[in-house]
Amino acid sequence: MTGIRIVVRRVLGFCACLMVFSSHGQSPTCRPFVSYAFALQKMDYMHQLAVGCQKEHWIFELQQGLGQRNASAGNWFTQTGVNLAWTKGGGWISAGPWFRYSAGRLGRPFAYTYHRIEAGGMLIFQCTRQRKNPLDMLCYGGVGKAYESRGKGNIIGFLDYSFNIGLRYAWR
Amino acid sequence: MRGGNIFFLLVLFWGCSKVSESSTKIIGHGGTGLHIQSAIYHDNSLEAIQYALSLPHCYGVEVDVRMDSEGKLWLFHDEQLNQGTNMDGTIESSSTSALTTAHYQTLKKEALVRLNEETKAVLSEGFCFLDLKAVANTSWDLFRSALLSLQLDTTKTALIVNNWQAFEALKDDFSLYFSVSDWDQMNLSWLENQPRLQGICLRNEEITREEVNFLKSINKKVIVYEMRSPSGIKKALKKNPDYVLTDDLKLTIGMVYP
Repeated sequence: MTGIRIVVRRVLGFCACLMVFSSHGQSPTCRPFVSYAFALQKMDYMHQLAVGCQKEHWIFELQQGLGQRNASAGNWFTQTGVNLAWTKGGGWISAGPWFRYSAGRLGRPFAYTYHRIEAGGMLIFQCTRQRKNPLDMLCYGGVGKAYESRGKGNIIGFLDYSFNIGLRYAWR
Repeated sequence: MRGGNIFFLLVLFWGCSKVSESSTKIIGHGGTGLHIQSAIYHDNSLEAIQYALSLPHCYGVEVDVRMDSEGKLWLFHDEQLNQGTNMDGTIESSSTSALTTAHYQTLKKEALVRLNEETKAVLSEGFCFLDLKAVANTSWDLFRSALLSLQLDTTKTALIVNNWQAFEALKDDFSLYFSVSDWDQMNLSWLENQPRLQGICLRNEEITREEVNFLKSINKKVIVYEMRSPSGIKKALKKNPDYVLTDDLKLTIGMVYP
């Protein structure tokens, strides 16, 4: 467990440093947004709400999800995540890589926590051409590693992946 | 009026409850499941067995047993080793030393598991069904000797066999279940006169609830296997067999114990 905490702390620290250094010289405008995404993670599905801000190329997002394991027949789980993305593009589409750390808890009878570290690619389509408050369609997917933590010393790591599709409303 | 409303709500919530009264015991097929995308480990690997037995409400596991050319027992499902491992040939034609270096071709590269004292200790954490896989020239006397040398606890271990020779060779020493491919293949009068036979193992789609009840009425236990989808697992549980060998262990546990 301590190992996971150290990894999480380092990953978040690295992301924060990366954001601070890469924001240097960029426009100070930060556009807040809210988004909804439907996510498939291995055999699970999840509804995910997020709030975040976009600063020119960088996107920082806090995500909260609620889902069910094994396509609606299994146990409920909640998942909280931090997503960092860098996108570049013009006109109606932008694309770029993203990185996410998330942690969740699977409901009874399993009742264990898990951690996911994931990286992938993101596409943002501008659905409306409205300049002030555009509505964007998001589509992103990635692969990573998940860790199931079921008590002291009982940590199991395995390959995980996800595909997300959603909508984002951004203010200017 | 208010009392009536409260009673109605209570009945409604009772009806909505997902808590199951199933007495069916959940067994992991090959550990956590066979040919299942969501499985973390390869079937019949030590990691899969340990993982399955660590899950709440998992009663035990079913593993497939084959004998190598030197009479040693190995846990492996398929006939050919090239179906998922780094070796060619079969377990039956390979030597013990060659199989010791074999592993599955997965990300985790789990080693092939030999059924020895160490494996027996892991399996004893729950109930264990040993599904004996035979080839044309299998010597059941050798199989029997190898199994007897392990001194298996018969209260926590049962064997699944699929032919009469195996049944005759092993019936005096082990708790046995007979695996049949379909209901019509069974000789029901023979079945009733076999006190040493614990039960029958059948595919989920090959048995109905009535047939399960009939087998229970003649004191035979029923194992139902081959279920992966939520609907398949639900159908199997509705038949109320004694055991389900599930290919999605977590899903089944979640459905029975929500």
